[in-house]
Amino acid sequence: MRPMNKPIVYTLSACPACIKLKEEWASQEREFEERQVDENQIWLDEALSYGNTVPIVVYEDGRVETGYANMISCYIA
Amino acid sequence: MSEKPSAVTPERFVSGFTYRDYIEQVKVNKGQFEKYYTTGQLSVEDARFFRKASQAPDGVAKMLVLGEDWCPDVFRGLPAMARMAEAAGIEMRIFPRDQNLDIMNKFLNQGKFMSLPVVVFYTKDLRHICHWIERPVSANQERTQIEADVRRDMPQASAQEVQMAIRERLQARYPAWQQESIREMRQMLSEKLGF
Repeated sequence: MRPMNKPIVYTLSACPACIKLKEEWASQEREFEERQVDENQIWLDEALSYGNTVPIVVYEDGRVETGYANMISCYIA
Repeated sequence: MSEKPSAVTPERFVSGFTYRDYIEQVKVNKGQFEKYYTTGQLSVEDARFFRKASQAPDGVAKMLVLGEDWCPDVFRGLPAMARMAEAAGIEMRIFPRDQNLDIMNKFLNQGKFMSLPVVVFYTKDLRHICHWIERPVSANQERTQIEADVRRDMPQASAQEVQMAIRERLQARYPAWQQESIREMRQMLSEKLGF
């Protein structure tokens, strides 16, 4: 697997917590790669290896965080 | 019974996907839909009940389902609903939730959550009979218990290992939850139709 140079964020297109995360990170000019799991089976399978709800953030050092700002996450499994 | 006006017109109802067309266009989880279509079979008694429900005066002629393909409650529940519709000769149409929020907003879970799937049972002229949302009551109880059990049984495991174990144990229950969904919908219709 190639090394990551920015966090990967797994999202659903209509997930309120995902939208909030993206808006806030964009306003802070934080770089990230978004992978919408409802658009791509490979990304969905990747996300499921990290957790059962989105948003999921995978940082460059391998840390994984799920959820955002105590908002309700969306189940994908 | 059938007091509420429909959220959709006849023209809009027929614009929804048939089950076959819906499965053709899903972007994710096609294999899951196929798997749970296999496990979502009706008993002879269930099939007889839904046929009776479709043949009763002011009985069920149409089913509208709101869904999204990424949602596990949908890839588990929708195939069982398709089985019901097929067994009873009911016309079922499927609408992606996020493109049909006006319909979704009429069937919110507890008046606030956009839970999926939603199945709405209608008469031939689209009068609302009843609707069912998301998953059976027992599944919610089991879900909480399974999550607690896994966390107790795997105190040293990573968060990812815990999530994976939870998912495996939940999915082992999916065929039973399909049957419980059918039982709940049958009971709901039985009360509404009076038999």
